[in-house]
Amino acid sequence: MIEEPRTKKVVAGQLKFESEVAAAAAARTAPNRQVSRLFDVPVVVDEERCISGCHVCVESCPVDCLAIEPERRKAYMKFDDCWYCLACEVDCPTNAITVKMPFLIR
Amino acid sequence: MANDIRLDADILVIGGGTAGSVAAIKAKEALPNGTVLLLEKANVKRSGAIALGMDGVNNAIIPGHATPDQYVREITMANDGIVNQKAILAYAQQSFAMIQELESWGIKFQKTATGEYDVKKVHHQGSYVLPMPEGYDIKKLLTRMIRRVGVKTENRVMATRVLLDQGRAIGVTGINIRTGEFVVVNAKAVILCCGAAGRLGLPASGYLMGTYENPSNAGDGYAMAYHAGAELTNIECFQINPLLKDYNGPACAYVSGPFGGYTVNAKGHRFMLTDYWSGQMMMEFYKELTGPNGPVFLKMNHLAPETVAEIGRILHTTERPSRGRFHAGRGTDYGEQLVEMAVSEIGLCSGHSASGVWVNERGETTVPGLYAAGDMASVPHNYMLGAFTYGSICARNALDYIAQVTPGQVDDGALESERTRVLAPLNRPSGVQPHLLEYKLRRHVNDYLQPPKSAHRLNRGLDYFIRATEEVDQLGAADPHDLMRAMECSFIRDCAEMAAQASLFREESRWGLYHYRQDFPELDDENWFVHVNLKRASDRTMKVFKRPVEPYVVPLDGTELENYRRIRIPAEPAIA
Repeated sequence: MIEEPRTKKVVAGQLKFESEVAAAAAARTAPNRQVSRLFDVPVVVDEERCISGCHVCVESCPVDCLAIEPERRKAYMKFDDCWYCLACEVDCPTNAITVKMPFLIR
Repeated sequence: MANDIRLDADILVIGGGTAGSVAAIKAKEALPNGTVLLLEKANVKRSGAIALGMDGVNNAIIPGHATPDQYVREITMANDGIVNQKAILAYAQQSFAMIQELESWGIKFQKTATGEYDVKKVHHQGSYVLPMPEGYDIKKLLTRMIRRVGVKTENRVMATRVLLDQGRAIGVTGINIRTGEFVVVNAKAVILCCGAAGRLGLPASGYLMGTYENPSNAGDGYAMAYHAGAELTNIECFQINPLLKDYNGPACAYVSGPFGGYTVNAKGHRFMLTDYWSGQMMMEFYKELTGPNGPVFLKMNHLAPETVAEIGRILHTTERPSRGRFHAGRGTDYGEQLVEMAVSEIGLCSGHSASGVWVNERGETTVPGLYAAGDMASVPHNYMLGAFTYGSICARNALDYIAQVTPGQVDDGALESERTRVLAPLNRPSGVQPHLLEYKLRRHVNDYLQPPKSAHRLNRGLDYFIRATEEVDQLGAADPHDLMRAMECSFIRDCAEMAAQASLFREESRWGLYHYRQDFPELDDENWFVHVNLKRASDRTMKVFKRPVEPYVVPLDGTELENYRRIRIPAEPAIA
């Protein structure tokens, strides 16, 4: 079997597609590999204080960025949407939440 | 479909923030045996622009302090004359009764030692600011009323389109943002109270959710009204606010002003006669900010320590309470340093400027059965009390309307195509992530729509926003939360296209910075003393047109319109 050369001699703009439009269309429809996302987490939950079964903070959040982690049954910031409004912190019955300013505006 | 959620209501209110809470309460009080349904994208206890409370009413017309006519004149001046005065007058005449009703619900307004309303002066001319030192619990009190009167509430449901039957509103479609279920609501009348288009521009900080407005207000109402065929107006009159740099909340001169705080340049000099937000004021702010004496600051370090502490107490408990830790983190002490301010993202918001779905003095849009109130309805500078008052006005008129209509017929074909459109991103798990498209859309808003405006830039922006329709169709959602963000991308795109079209159409400059066209830098009353309205034409294209300004009900004297154009403090003459 002839191995495909790892490097190809090509002329810019004349790659494996008939046109740039075709190349762009192929690239648009090809699926991307999913990778896990990491982000700054302004909502800090003290799990010692957070009450299992309580979801007051999750209901308070105007952008719905909090959730209950199903195994530990504790609140956590699931989505990177925090508006640093403090609704979760103010409404938490056990003062388990501290909101810090998101890094970009800290 | 079997797993759709089907709901029915006599009156359907979309959005349980400021306007929507009152609309629902007033409608239900008048309909004890009927169904009033409130759909809320978040949870009514913490939703909308006043999710964390409000420090005061910015436009109270208290007998003995101001009159409705005086208020209408001032707001007409602050909007360079382009107003529907009847709609402002309806607010001005009915808002004092609203204050009294809010008091009966337990909401407290500041009183003097003798029991009078403690009205403060912030505007250029009249006195309309009424503090609410305990305003942090306002949403809690409204939620209590919503429950007490028996409003049916569905939290975490986001409306996506208004359902129509022969051109009249008969309900909405939506999604549950936790489960991804498709929701269909049939109603006799729909009141849209969806707030501002607050996620239009990208904050200067680059933080997507670091907006001035509550980011759940993504322009949903503007886009839904547009697709329902309603007229929108003054869209080119953008919202641009003087804000705490990076934090992006109000500084807030309305709170600190009555205590003696004011806006200064980098030399510590005052340069504006008033800190009341208007396009003309923002132009002076912007000139100073970008000029040799910029940046601009809020000055409080000349005040007594007790005064500074009281300002801090208000600013750090209401509206945007994290202001305190933001400043602490940067080592800014109000009593020591000046507080840096800046201009950030543009938005659409009648509460502060004038952009909105066209409504008359009865809260009616141009679509029968469809009402709008609050930051998304076109009554200018309406603020929180305007949202409350128009929520009540909409409820009253919707009640009259439903008494004379027969139930509408939902078109199954339209419903099915909307269902397919809304749920499509869930079937494209490897599609474009919503936050990426949102960033791109909003960056283009900054690049091309943000004042100063010019036709060349606006056209470049418009080209992209039209092309972005295809990118909206490539969105993928990994879960129902992502689906909400995907739907918001389409709302943001719609609002951006409207903002570009309306800005291009008005070939003059007006409202100071809000519509400053470098290619048409002068005010042109001869050709442009009109509203610029837009709507979706029957061929689905965006139609932009002039709508005459209705004759004033409160006439202005000869040069009164000039008053808000003279906000800058003249430079002191050099001493000879």
